[in-house]
Order: sequence, then structure tokens, then C-alpha cells
Amino acid sequence: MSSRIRNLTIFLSISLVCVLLCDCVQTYVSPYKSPPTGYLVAEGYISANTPTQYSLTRVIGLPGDSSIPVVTGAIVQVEGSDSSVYALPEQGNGIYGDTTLLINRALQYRLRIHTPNGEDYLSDFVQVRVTPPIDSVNWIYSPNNGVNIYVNTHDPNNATHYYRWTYDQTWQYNSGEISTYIYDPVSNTVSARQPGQFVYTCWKDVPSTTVTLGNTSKLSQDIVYEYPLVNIPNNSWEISILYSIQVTQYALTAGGYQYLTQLLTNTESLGSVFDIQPTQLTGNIHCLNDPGEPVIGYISAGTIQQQRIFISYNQMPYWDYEISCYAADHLVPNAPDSLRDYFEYGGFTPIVKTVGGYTGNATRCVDCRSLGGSTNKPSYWPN
Amino acid sequence: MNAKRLYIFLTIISFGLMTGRCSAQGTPPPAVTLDLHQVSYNDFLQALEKQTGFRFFYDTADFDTTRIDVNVQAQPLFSVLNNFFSGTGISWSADRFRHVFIAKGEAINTGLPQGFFDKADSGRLAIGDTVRDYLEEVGKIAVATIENKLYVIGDKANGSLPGKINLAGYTLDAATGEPIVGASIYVENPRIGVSSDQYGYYSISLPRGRHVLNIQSIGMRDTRRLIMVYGDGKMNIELHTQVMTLKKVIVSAEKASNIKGTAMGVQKIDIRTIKQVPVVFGEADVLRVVTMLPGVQTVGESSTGLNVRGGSTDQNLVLFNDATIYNSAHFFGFFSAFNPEVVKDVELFKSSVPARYGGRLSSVLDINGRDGNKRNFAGSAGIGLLTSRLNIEGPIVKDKTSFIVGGRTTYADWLLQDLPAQYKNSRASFYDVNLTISHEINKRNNLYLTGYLSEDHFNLNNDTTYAYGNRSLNLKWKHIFSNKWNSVMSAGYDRYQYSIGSTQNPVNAFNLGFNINQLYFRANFNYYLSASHTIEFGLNTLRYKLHPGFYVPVGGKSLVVPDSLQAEQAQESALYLSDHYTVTNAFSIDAGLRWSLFNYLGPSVVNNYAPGLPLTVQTQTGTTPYGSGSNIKTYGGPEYRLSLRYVLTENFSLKAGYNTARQYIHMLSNTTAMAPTDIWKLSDPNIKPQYGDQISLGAYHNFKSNTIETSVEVYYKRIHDYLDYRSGAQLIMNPHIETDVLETHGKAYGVELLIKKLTGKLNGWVSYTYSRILLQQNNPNEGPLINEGKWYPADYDKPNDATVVANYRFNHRFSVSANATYSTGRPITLPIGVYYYAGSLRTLYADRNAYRIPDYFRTDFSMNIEGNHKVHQRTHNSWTVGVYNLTGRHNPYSVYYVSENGLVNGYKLSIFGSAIPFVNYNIRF
Repeated sequence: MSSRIRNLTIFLSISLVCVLLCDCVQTYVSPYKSPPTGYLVAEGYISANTPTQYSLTRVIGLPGDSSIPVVTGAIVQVEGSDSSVYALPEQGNGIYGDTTLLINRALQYRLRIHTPNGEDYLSDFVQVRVTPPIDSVNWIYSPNNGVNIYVNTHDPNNATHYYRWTYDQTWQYNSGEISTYIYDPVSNTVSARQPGQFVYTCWKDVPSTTVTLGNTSKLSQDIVYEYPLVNIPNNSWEISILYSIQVTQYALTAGGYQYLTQLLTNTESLGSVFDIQPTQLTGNIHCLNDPGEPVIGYISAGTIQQQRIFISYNQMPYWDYEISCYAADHLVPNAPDSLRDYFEYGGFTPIVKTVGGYTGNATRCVDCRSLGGSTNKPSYWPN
Repeated sequence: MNAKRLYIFLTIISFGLMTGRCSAQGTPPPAVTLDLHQVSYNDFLQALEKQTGFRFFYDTADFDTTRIDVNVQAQPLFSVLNNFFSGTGISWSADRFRHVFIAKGEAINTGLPQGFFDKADSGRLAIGDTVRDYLEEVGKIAVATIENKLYVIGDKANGSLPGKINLAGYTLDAATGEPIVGASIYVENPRIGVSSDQYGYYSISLPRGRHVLNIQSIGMRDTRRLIMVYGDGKMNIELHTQVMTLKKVIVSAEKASNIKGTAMGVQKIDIRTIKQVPVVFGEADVLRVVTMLPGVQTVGESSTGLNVRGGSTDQNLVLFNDATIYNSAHFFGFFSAFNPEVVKDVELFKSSVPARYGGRLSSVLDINGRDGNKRNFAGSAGIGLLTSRLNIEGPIVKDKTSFIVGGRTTYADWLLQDLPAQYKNSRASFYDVNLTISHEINKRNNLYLTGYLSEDHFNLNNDTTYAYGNRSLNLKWKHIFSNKWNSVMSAGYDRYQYSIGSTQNPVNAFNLGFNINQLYFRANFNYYLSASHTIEFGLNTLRYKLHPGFYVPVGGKSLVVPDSLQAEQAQESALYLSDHYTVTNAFSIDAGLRWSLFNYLGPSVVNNYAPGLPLTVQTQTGTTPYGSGSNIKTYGGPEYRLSLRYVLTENFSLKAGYNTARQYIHMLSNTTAMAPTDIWKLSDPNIKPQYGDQISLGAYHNFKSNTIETSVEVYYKRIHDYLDYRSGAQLIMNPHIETDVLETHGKAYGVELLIKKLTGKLNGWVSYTYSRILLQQNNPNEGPLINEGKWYPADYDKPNDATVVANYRFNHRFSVSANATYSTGRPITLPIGVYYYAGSLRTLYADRNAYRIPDYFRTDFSMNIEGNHKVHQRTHNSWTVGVYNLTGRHNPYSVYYVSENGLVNGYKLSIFGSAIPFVNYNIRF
């Protein structure tokens, strides 16, 4: 009997593996047409120690593949509870404001927007929150999880409680091969690259796309300890040479924290068996013409704190990044037809001059910009 | 022959009634050869006298008019007598003078009690001897096992009196001695019928005279007893299990409880039916079969939360052996919390809820566990893909005390290991244990002790661990005062608890806990007033103690400030009375009144809010402290339970019902599926009890000699003060939770069609339901309007729902089952737009539940293969092989949009995205 049972369980395991290869999450395209809304989206921060900027955009319909319309020609101003008014001049592309405002940390501030359509929007007054400095941004390497980056901060006054972090990641990387020659489609000729034309090393800049929030209101001391911000998978290209992250820390009001928590729940944490249902977001900015019209955004004011760290490939105990480019170099004869055939559409890039012509390879192996970076070295880059 | 007029000294040597004793010694009794046809007992005994030379002493009045056939060839006299009188209630004895004394009841003692002459002067008997009044048969109950024998109940001397007598007793399983619940016991003419209660007890009023008592129960062989009733009496009836299909089908005219019962919207399924239905992973699942009944829905595949006739999942009273189960799910809802090996049957009341139940609006799901085998030790074990189970049962004292203990555990971590990488670190496990001890103190008193324990642990892709469990213990005492009146008292303790903990970050390491404790006492009395009135009354009282949340640090480095929400306590009590009144044979009424009372008790600090304004943090005006034990708030009122039945023809009846209910404990949830982290909240000064009423009408028609039951039921239901959550509600560790919920009202209506065939080779049911459940929050004084105050569908509103459950028995050892389910996709909140914020495109939501996920369709198939049926072998084994979701359809569980790497992506999540084969092996020993 027992051997029969053993056989049985073996059989069952086999049958179950087949089951689990199934694709349980599939892409969904809504058959419903979403109504035109065009609600206003106001995003920014009334900053007491850096330039204040607001961007005004509008809501588009699902699936959200068209470009986001920006609001131009609006009048945007910050109003203090002392009746002070600061205009945020239009910068183009829906951006308003560029200077550091003289914010009095004892007062309250609000945002007023007047659009060219004649709509008026006004936010509630908000407190100016003083953000404590970031204690450290640190990281831990583990062979299983790669590099995890954490932020640490504390408020000795036990007054902050609600934190938000945004971050900018930048990393340097190289293309698979160094190209010393460049093709000019106008003259259909190949020439040696001049300084500034090299496309071997690039810097990629990626702003955060997630909402990262911290809450210490349930702790006896206002301490944020090793709050995880970013995970860099093992052997990935971020740390192929040098990686940098700049973390920006904001103190929030309880209301601002709640608003962003809801936004996070609605837009980033769905998809489990016990999903919290998405809900309507109610911010602190309102349409004066139609109080029922939703306005996206929560107006907050305060100081911000920043810290940047670097992580070098040399600091990794073991990091094996290789650009996935296995194509062999081609010889491109130095004849006008050949040059045009290979190089005209940019899919192929010359590498070096050789007997009878040039070697060339796929651009993604040769030109680092094809992976989304820029050859402009950021001003803060150390090497 | 005047012996009967005397007191006769009898020594009781055996408990049974059918005693044949032979005191004759010396010459062996002569052999008898007789061949008589249709003779009376009188003729038979005279023929014996002639042939044997023995003198027979008897009273012809002891014999009924039964004619017997006698055909014996050279058998000893005593064995002939034994054969003919065993089981008839007639005893015989013989003395050494070749006298045979035949008497009704116990055998005549042909000797004198020991020491009779020594003590003759004192006129006393030795201790230990028993003096029995022959006329008073007390304390002993006939066990009627034989169909064609006439059982005489009561004293014939009363036979000519007018009026009715009462017959009562237990219906028992002949093999195990376990009670049979819901057996129908009836006589044809006049039409009188009752059914046995949950302890197998029945009580029937009959006119004096001769009757054929018919007894039927699902899964048991139909049987009948010939009875002659002269006076009140007791009779236990043993039934035999129906052993698979017979060559011929016996069609009975009385399988018509759906026609004749007054109750509406009641569905009962026994474990045998449950075990036939194929379910995922092959383990028989009580709740999943319940979800295939008309009017019962769930939000999705991995949810065992039931939505009955538009009710929410917390509006069901789930009772497992009288214990309230707050979370009936195991393992993310893939399994229900009830071990199929210890469950006897399940009864769902979705419309006519008996007055003895209360406290929930929508339904009562009563899951009855089995009593242990009182005669033999037995057990079973099952091995499944993810779980194994074992149960053992047997007598502690034979025929008096039995136990059954069952356990189930899982070894499913390996399954999670095989999941895609993001689930790799997940763990999940559960176990449950059941114990029931039943003890018969005497024929009038029975005790039952039941215990239940379940525990679940899991974590999903992160270090946060979740645990929850139910535990309960109760003691029940059933007492029979007389044939007409009995009582059941029970007292017990139930607990549900969960905890969430995380220790990954030492500074934030925490443990969050929640629990509900309830201590209850219930007393229920049944009084069979007359053939036309059965009265039930009683009282329930329940003491709640909830710890709505405590949040504590874990480890020395944790900075978490211990926080604890104040405990809540309340007393929920009810008095009820109901009468089952048979007005005429065709018309009967079940009328019940339940008066429920809820006291929210101190100590507590209650938040006060400005009157007439929405409850928000801003409108809070202060707090009022209350001392320990003080009555803070009282709610209560009558609940009506009425059902009417009118039988138009033998197999067609109409019924109507009206029901109201009040609910004082609420589950607060903003998840679609019933989650293990859902909070339960008692009504308090700021949260009113829910109140609901339902009116329903039904027509019932049976075809093909009642083997096919059909029914149509329509209902309309109103729900008041149902709690929905506000947008962005914070439900965990919220000291002012009333500001995060909204009192809404709802309406539900629907029609349920059911065709059911539970006998024959092909059996099963087909059901179709059209139903709606709509909610509304249109009171601006209550808080923000939901969907601008318009009606909106609840999460579980699935208008069309059709189910086919079928089983075909090819032979005794092989049957196949198949089922198919279709339902409209449930409502879902889909984005109405996309915006750019915080570095990413994000979705904008507006009205709740304005859209629907794609429709649901699933078919399952299984084969049940039994080992051989030789009775005397050490183990019996069976296999179940099947496929869940045969068509491999990707039934969506949910549809969601999520922002990833700056973009919005829509996904459809299916719990089971392919056909799932399963094999189950069961051993019985």
C-alpha cells in the first residue's frame, strides 16, 4: 500500500507542474469606452528652500496611449495666509514657476489657478512642513537580491511623521564596442570621430516612477530606518561602471500622506487576491466653477532635503554584466553604395577603418545612446 | 391463564425485549415438523401442543390477527418458538413440567427469585432482584428493526379510547448507531408526517389503531414499520444505508418534503452528494458545493465567502456543530475550513430562517458534524495534492459513548515554490482539528461535546506573515421530558483571531492582532402540542468581547509604540417562539417571533459627533467615558418569521414567506474577497445594527413519482444600514472607524429555478438564478454620496447564474460526475481616465462598480472509483480522478490596471488559468 501511495504522489507532482506553467495574468483591454473628462492635474510642491514649480496637465481617456495634454496660458499663483501673492510664471510645456519663493514657515499657503478656459481652481491652505535632513542613503549587496538601496532619516523633534521620497537614478555604461569612425548621411562618407562625437560611454537618467512613502506615526521616535527605495537586480547594467542616486525627501501633512497612499493603492498595488478596491481620490484643490469636478493633485508646502550617493562596479564583490551583443563585425567596403546600404538608416554603425573599408556592427552594440542614455556627462559626475 | 392478572416476579436478564428463555432441563424437547398456511398463532400453538405433548399457556389477546405461514422440518421445539416469536414482542419460557408460558413482554420467570422462601415472612425481595409491574412498561424502548412485524405500542386496554397518542424515539443508523437527521416519518392515512430533528429524534401524533409507519431519509433505504398503537410510547427505528444502485428502482410516492414542508429557500446536501461534486484539487469541499446552489454566489474562485440572495459575506451565520465560524476559508480561500470527513450534512436557510436562529441578515448555513460510530472503531484517511486528512471514530462505551476525531493538514509550500519568481518566497499552511464526543446518559439524556480548531499561516512575497484561526468548544445537553417535549441546551465559547507581523526591519518590527470572543448559552424547547401544532421556543444569549486591534513591538530594537484599541463588549440576547400549525392537510403555517436585544456595554469611551452631520473627525464633539458593565446603548426589536404552504395536488404546492432579521456585528472590508484581515465591529452608539426583510414566493412541483423536484422561488429583499466603506477608508487600527464607513441601504431581488433529482443512476441538479443586489447612499447627512447617490451594484451582483451538477452511477463501483457553471461577470470599478503624476501615468477612478469583468464559465469532471465492496476486508479504498476547469478557460478573477515603469497596463487575473487534473486516494478502515 505504501509504495502505491508513493507512486501516486510522484505522479501528482508531475501533473501539477503542468498546471503551474499556466499564464494566469493576461493583458486586458477594456471593451468600455471611457468618458471624456479632461480634469485638471496639478503637480508640484510649494518649496521653502528650492524653486517652486507646478505642472498643469489634463486627464486623458483609457488606455492612456495618447500624449498628455498640458495646460498653457494659465495664471498660477501661490497665496500666503498673510495675503502675500507669488506668481508662478509660465515656462512652457505646462510648467509654471522657476524661482525660490520667500516662504514664511510660520504661515500657510495655497495655490490658485486660472485657466484660459475661464476655470478657477483654489486649494486649501496648507502648513509649511520642515523636512529633516536625510541621515544617509546606504545600500546592501547580496548575491540573491543584488543591491538594495535604503534611506535613513530622523526628526529629533518627533514632528515629521509623514515622509515622501523621490529619487533620480543615473548610471554610466558603455556600449559593446568602441566606434572611432562616424558616418555622415549627407555626404555618404565615413570619417574619424572628433572629441565629443564618441558614443562609447553614456549616462542614463531615470527619475522615480513610483510613490514612495514612509510613516513613523506609530513609532516612539521619529526614525526612519533602512527604508527600501530601489532594488538593482544582480548583474544588471546599472552598476556596470558607476551608479548614482539622488534622493529627495519631503515632509508631508497627514492629509497629503493619505492622499498619496490612496493614489499608490489605486495605481500601484493592485493585482492580488485580496485587492483593496480602487476608490475615488479627493485632493485639496477644488474647482470653483463646479465644486463637483474632480481635480487631481494635493498641494503641499515645505522644505526639501536631498542626498546623492555613488555606487561603483569596484565595490561589488561579484558583478557580471555583459552587454547582450553577440553579432560579429561586418566588413563594409568603402564604396558609396555599400556605405549607403549599411549605414544610411542608422541600424548599423562603423567601428574602425580596416583594409578595404570599415568594420561595422549593429548600432545597439556600438552606440550607447541606442539604450536610452546620453553622452553628456552630468556636472556632478566624479570620474 | 390468570397469570396475567398477578404480579409476576421477573428477573431481568437482558436489556432487549425479545427474550426467549428455556428453563427446561432433562429430556430434550421433541422435534417439530409442521406445514401450515395462513394460520393464526392460536392454531399454530395448538398444532404444536398436539405434536409435542407440551402444554401451552397463553392469552389469545396477546396475539394480533396476523396470519403466519409455518414450514418447519424436524426442528427442535425451542428453536421453532425462538424463530417465530423473536422480534414480535412476545416471549416464551418453559418449565420442567413441559409447560410453555407465552406472554407479551418479558418472559415469565418459571422459577422463584432466589431466597424467596427464606424471606417469605418479611415479604421482601433480595436486593438485586427486580420487581416489575407487568402493566407498566417503562424505561425501555422498542428498537424496531424489522419491516414485516407488528410492533405494539401502549396498553391494549386503552385501545378503545378516543383521541390520539404520541409516538417518539430516535431514527438511527443500524450500522453505526448514529442518529439520522431529517428522516421523514409519516403515515399515509390519515396523512400525518414529521421529520427527525438534528439529533435524530422524532415525535408523531397518531390516532389509536394500526398504522404503516413509513420512514425515509436521504441515503438510507426506505423502510416501514407496522405498528399497533394503543397509547403513548417510544420506538427507535434503525435504518440501513442504501447500498448503491439497485437493479430496480423503487419509486416512492412520498419523497416530497419540498412539496409538503412549509420552509422555503432551504437546501440540504449530505456529504455523499458533496463528495461526488468535482472540485479543484479533488478534496470534497462543503462550501464550494453550497456555492453551486441557486441564490448563492461568491465574488471569485478563491473565495469561500458566500453571498446569499444579495447578502454580503458577513450576513451569513455559519454554524459548525453550533459554533459560529467567522472565517470559513483556508489557504487563500482555496479550501473551506470544514474537514469533509467529519461533516454529515449541510443545511442552508436562505429565506425561511427558523426563529431559533438570528443575528445575521441573509442566511444560516448549518454544518452538522457526524457523531462517532457507537458500535465499531472505524476511520478514514485521504491523500490529496495539497492536503491529507485522517479521522478516527469509535465507541468509548459501546452503544453509549462515542468519539470522532478528525484532522487535516497541508503540505502545500512546494506548490508555491513552483510559482513564478515573484511568489517564490511565499509560504502557506493550515491545519484543522475536530473532536466530537457524544454520550447517552440514558434514554432521555444525551450529551455532546464538540471542539474545533483551525489555524492558517501565510506570507506573500514579503516578510509580513499572516495568521488566523477559529477555535470553539461547546457542550450540548439534549433532554427528553416526554414524548411530546424535549429540550436542547448548549453552552460554548467561540473565538476568531488573526495577527499580522513583520520583523524584517528591526525598527519597525511589529505584530498586529485582532480577535473576537463569544460565550453563549442557548436553550431550545420543542413541544409537540398536537398533531396540528408543534411549538418551538427558547432563548439565546451571547456575550461578545472583541479586541479590535492591538499593535505591539517585536524585538528590543523596535520603536513601535504599543497601541491598543479599546475592547468592545456586548450582550446579544433573543427570546423566540414559533408554531408549526397544520390548519388542514393542505394548508399549514409556520409562524415565529423572535425578539432580539443588543446591549453595548462598558467599559468604553464613546466618540460623540455633532447631530445631523456626517461622522467625520471634524464633526467629532468629544467623548463620553462609560464604566465597566454599564449599558451604553440598547438596540433591539421583533423579528418575524412566517411561512405558509398550500398543497394544491399531491405533487404541487405553493409557499409564501416573510422574514425579518437584525444584525449587530458587521464585517468591515474594502477588499472584494473576504480577506483574513477583515475587521469585525459591533454595533455601538455610532453604528446602527443592520436590519433586513425579505418576502418570497415559491411554487414546487414534483414529477415522475417525486423523483424529480422542481421549484421556482422569487424574492424581494430590503437591507437597511448596511455598512459600506468610504473612499480611502482606514480600517485597521482606527479608533474612530465610524468615520470611515457609511450606512447604505440596499435592495435585492431575484428568481431561482431549480430542477433536482437525487435518486437513480443519473442524479444532480440544474439551477438558474436571476438576481440583483443594488446599494445606495443618497443621504448627504450621512457622508459623501457614493456614485452621486444613485443605486450601484454591490461587488457580488451577478445577475445571471446557471449551474448543472450531474452524477451518473454506472455501477456500484464506478460513477462519473460533471458540473458546469456560468455566471455574469461581477461588477468592477474600472478607470475612467489616465493622468500623469509622480513620474508615471496613473489611472483615475470614479463611480464604483460601473463596469463588469468578463463572464465566468467553468466545467469540471471527475470519476469516482470504489474498491471492491467485500464487507469483511481490512480497508476499503477509493479513487477520485478528475479535471477542474476542463475547458482550461481563463476565468477572470479580477481585472485591474497598474502603473509599471511609468506606464499604465491592464491585466486580467485568473486564479486557475488552465485545466487542473487531480487525483485523490481515500482509505476507509
